[in-house]
Amino acid sequence: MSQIALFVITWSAILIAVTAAARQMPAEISNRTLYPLLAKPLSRWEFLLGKFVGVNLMCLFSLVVLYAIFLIVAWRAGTMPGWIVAQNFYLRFLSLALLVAMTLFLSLLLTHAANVCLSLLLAIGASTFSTALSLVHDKLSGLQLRLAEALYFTLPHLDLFNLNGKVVHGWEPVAAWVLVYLTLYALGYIAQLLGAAGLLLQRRML
Amino acid sequence: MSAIRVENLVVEYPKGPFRPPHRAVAGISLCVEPGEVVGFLGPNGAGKSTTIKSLLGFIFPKSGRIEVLGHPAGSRPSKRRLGYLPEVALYYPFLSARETLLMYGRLMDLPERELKKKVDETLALVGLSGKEDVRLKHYSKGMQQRVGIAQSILGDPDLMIFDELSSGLDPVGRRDLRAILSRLRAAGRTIFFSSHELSEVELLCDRIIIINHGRVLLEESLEKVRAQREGRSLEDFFVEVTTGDGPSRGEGGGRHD
Repeated sequence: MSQIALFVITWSAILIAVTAAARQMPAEISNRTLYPLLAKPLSRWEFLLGKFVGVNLMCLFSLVVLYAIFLIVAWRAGTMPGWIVAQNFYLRFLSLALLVAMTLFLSLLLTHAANVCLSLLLAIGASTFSTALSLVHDKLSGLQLRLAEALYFTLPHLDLFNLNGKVVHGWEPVAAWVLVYLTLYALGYIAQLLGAAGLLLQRRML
Repeated sequence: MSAIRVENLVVEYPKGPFRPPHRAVAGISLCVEPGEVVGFLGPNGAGKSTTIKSLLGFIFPKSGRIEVLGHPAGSRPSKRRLGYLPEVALYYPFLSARETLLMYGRLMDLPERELKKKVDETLALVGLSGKEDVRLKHYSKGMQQRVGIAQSILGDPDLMIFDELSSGLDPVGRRDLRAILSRLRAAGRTIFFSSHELSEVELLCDRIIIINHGRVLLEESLEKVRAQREGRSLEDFFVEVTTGDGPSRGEGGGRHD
């Protein structure tokens, strides 16, 4: 039961993050709400950062609601998880922030529909890729292996942020250094993606 | 220091990797001095909006130099004392007019204590008193345009740039707008605006600049234009200039620094 609930929370949150992030920039440009804003003393970088923070606050709110429902149901059923659920919440939020940065970046390159599709595909890929690759790694060779390894080192590994299984099976909280490492890992990707998005926006004719 | 100084502005829009770019502005130079009200005229596609967007730093020129209030176009200092009304813009439908102006005021770093007073004054000036707490999704197009005008004049900017000034306004709205602009003009504000409403231009401007195909055709004070017109309407004069039958910049001796 907890497994299904956490699975639903994970993918609901991913869906919310991707759909919300994907429409921010295209909607601002097509509705022209961007023009009066950027005519004020506000840089394009600040605007992009504001969008990133705004979508993340919305994701945080969604996660709080979803996890609150999960915990209330678990408490009533007498299957209250340990402190690892708080770590799971934090890592889920970090992975969503990474996904939001990626979707904002892609929204400056692709149409809205293409961006939603690709971002969701990348979210699925990034959530399962390292597991899938470890299963088939020994059977790959030559160009296939190089391609798979290139993808392995390029794509962010969202499955690293997934503690659902450990929550379900009542594991002890993970060590603090793991959280620090994953925070730096996520922040590194976010900085690169927002930096690339900022450069694209900076050069775009509005 | 000029309020706006544009030198040999060239703007091109890329049309694809194997096609030549579209040249929207082909070497415009113009100058607007503080306290002037200048009408920027031209037929559709002449390059007015492109020039105005270049002044705001929304698009980047291929070549040329633009200074707004003594700073490079699009820079933060140039935008600090600038009000801009876009040709077509929507404002966030989930905000009220008051919330919208508060948001823009905060972006302009207006002191919070003065901001609420200024917002109320500005809303009264554009005729939105009593409707300031209604969500913008319930506003008509004309009322939204009034919100746009309000955000552009909020905080008494030194320079106001209006793209298609009276777009979407009914006759009452236009009359109110003229009254607002007359008041701003009397207060010594610099206004640079594009419009297709030549009667409005005639009433408000000190000077007009007519462009077509991305080039300045005429830059002249309204007084001199009146003298050149010899009884014809400004509309006839405009058509003659833009179709090439009228006095060219070289012949007319338009002012250009």
